Amino acid sequence: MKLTLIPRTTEFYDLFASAGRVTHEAARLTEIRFREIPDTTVPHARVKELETEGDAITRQIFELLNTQYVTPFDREDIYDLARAVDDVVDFVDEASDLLDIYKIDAPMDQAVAQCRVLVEATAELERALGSLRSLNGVHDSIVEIKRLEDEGDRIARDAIASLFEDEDVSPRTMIRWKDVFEALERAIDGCETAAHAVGNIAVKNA
Amino acid sequence: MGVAPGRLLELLEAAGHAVRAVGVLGEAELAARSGHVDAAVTASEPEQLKRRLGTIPVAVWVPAASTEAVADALAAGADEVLHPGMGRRELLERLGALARRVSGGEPSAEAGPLRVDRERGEATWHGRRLALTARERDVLHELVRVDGRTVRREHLYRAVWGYAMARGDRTVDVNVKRLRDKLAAQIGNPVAIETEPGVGYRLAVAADAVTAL
Repeated sequence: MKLTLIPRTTEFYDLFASAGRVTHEAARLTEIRFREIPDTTVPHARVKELETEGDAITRQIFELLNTQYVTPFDREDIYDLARAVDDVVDFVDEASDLLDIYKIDAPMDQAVAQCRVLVEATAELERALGSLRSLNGVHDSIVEIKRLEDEGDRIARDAIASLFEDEDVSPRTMIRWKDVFEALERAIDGCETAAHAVGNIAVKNA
Repeated sequence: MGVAPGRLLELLEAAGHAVRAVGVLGEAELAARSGHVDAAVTASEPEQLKRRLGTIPVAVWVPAASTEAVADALAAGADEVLHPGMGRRELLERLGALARRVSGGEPSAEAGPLRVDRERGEATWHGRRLALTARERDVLHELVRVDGRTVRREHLYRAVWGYAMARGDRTVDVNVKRLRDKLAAQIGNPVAIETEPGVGYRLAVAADAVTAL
């Protein structure tokens, strides 16, 4: 692959900003789906489209990384961040898809609460990814994502516990909602992993 | 002449019932899963027994027929209360009626011109069949059956879906909303499902709809 000597660092910033936008939008649509089932206005296909768009952005970042001699941050840090953001969209897509796979036909309060946390966390992630050039406000976003991840953990623990409070809860309910709670928790955890990657960049480039 | 508690088993067998005495709840549950249990009689913990037995009705045997004891047993979830003061015939008839609730399906429930017949699988308004799903019909049956009282969401879930409702599960609310929309479209104002926030739902049928019968 040919390395170019003219830096195209702006493209990295733009691609990460786009990845942040796609991630937040996927989370926002997924929250609507979880809140509105069974008569949701958002089909899973719309979340899937965003996941595909996220994959394309990640691929472009990797291609740019392979062809650029000069990069705005350490190559490894760019790789880690791109991978971490891509993972968040994948986890969001997985959670949204489970609604259809398991034929879930009514909301669960705890899952809606998890989705709200996910939307806030991805909003902060979008903000941080959009600020990579200046790194202004990035630290605050990282702190907030960590706080939201803690809140997400608490909700997930309580959600899973709620399935076992009564021994006579239907096995069908237990299986499907436990999987969904865990998928949403992975997505929220993924935001924290991405925030760590942003933090590594911020520390080295402050 | 009253029936001594120790003779209950003997009496039921003599009347042609197949009776099985069980020592623990798990054993009762296993027996219930065989599909051949019409009713259960217990001297304690009707609530726990009912949870294990699903739709099988549970009668409670109380040692004395005081109003308090009967009320306590009903409040604890008993479908029927038996006591030593009952004659043999009354006792057998009561148990028979209890068993019919499961073997023949519960009798239909009515609220004015609104009638829900689970056995026939239909709900009607002034005899006109309402287009409802089986779940919606079962929810409506439960609301009609209690005669305007509020039914807790957990109870509706248990009665219609046959399991305990997981905390946070909105299945009942989704189905009540659909039922409400369908009743509004097919009947209109005379019938309303009212929400008691944080508790459950109750059915209100306009007085003029009832008196117009």
